[in-house]
Amino acid sequence: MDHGQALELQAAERYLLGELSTEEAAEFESHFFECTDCCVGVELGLDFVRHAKAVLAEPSPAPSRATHQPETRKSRIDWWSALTDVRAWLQPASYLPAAAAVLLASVVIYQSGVIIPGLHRALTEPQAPLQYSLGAISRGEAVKIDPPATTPITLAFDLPPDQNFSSYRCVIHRKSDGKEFVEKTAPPRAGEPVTVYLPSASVQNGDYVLSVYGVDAEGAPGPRISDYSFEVVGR
Amino acid sequence: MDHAFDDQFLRALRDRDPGAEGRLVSTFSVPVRCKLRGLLRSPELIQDASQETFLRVLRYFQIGKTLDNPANLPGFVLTVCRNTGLEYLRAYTRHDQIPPDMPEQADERNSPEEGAVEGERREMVRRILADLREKDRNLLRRVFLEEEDKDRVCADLNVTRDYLRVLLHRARLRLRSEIERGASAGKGATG
Repeated sequence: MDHGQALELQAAERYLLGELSTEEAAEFESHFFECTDCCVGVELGLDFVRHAKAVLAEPSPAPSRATHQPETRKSRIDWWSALTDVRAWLQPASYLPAAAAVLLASVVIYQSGVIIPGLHRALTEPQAPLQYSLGAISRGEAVKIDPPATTPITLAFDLPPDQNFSSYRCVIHRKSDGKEFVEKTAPPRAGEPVTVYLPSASVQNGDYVLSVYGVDAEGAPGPRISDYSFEVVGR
Repeated sequence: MDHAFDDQFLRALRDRDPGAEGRLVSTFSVPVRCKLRGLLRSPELIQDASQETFLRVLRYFQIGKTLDNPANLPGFVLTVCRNTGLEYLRAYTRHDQIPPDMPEQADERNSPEEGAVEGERREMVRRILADLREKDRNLLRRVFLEEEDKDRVCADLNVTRDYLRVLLHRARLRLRSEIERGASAGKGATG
């Protein structure tokens, strides 16, 4: 075996690891008795293995790279390890905060995806409300209206003659749950009806009564002027 | 071949020339020690077997024997060394054996200077190990300290036998560079 063959065969490492056959080991020994380079290589390898065994046998493990890092780096690693530790997430102590986090996330997603865009559209996009005319209760049955689900409506009605209030207060009462919507409106021009705007979200199926009250110039509530009845269907 | 030996050198050994004897010992002390470390565990036995090897080689030439081809001197020393080592191995196998898993004991006959060199070299190896990845350190621990089956260890750690050889090769080169750096630093300090 010459030096080139020894290098190609990684003979020194194989010799140290006991990977050479008896014949190969004898050949390599004959070589390193003549070759200083290979001999020094074997001796260094033997030294490394001997000292490594002593160091690795010590009770405290050899310091790892992590211990040489600054404390901030270690803290960051611990924080990340805790966050990504699946077993920790499966502990009962994690259930309550995890459930709260999921609930909060659901609310945020619903608000961001549904409520806020709807409000944004209602404020910024032009709306074309459907208008319905109401007659006073005394004139007959309740008017049935069937607006599409996403369309706001406008209720138009005539006031009794000789009403001279500076404004009017319209209270829309839903009979099923007693909920009321209040809107103030200015006096209509001569010959025109009063109109009350209802956003689409406020309109649900059911019977409603719209009561109109007069308000004087000083803002004091006046008497009830008239009632109008209507029924929403098909929403 | 790094060493050239001729008839004149063999005659000098026969004539007990101190220069030739010194050259023989300095040339072959490292390979003899390497060979004996493969056979014997105890540093004391290695030291004794090494001295016995050189004693036998010198005696061979001093009683008038010689070699047909002086270039065969390294092979001759290796043969004597191997035989001596095996004799020591057989002789001491009958007596108390050091358990295979017992850490090697420090040679108590080391001089203070040798002890310092040993300590310094161990610190170098400690640094080399500390710079290794945990996986590589674990690989070396299982192969050399726990002497587990190498194929199984490599399979467990998902590495090849080539990887193990390269790891050892790099560690050996690193130790050499650390020693050379320490030597140059020592020269700088004294110079």
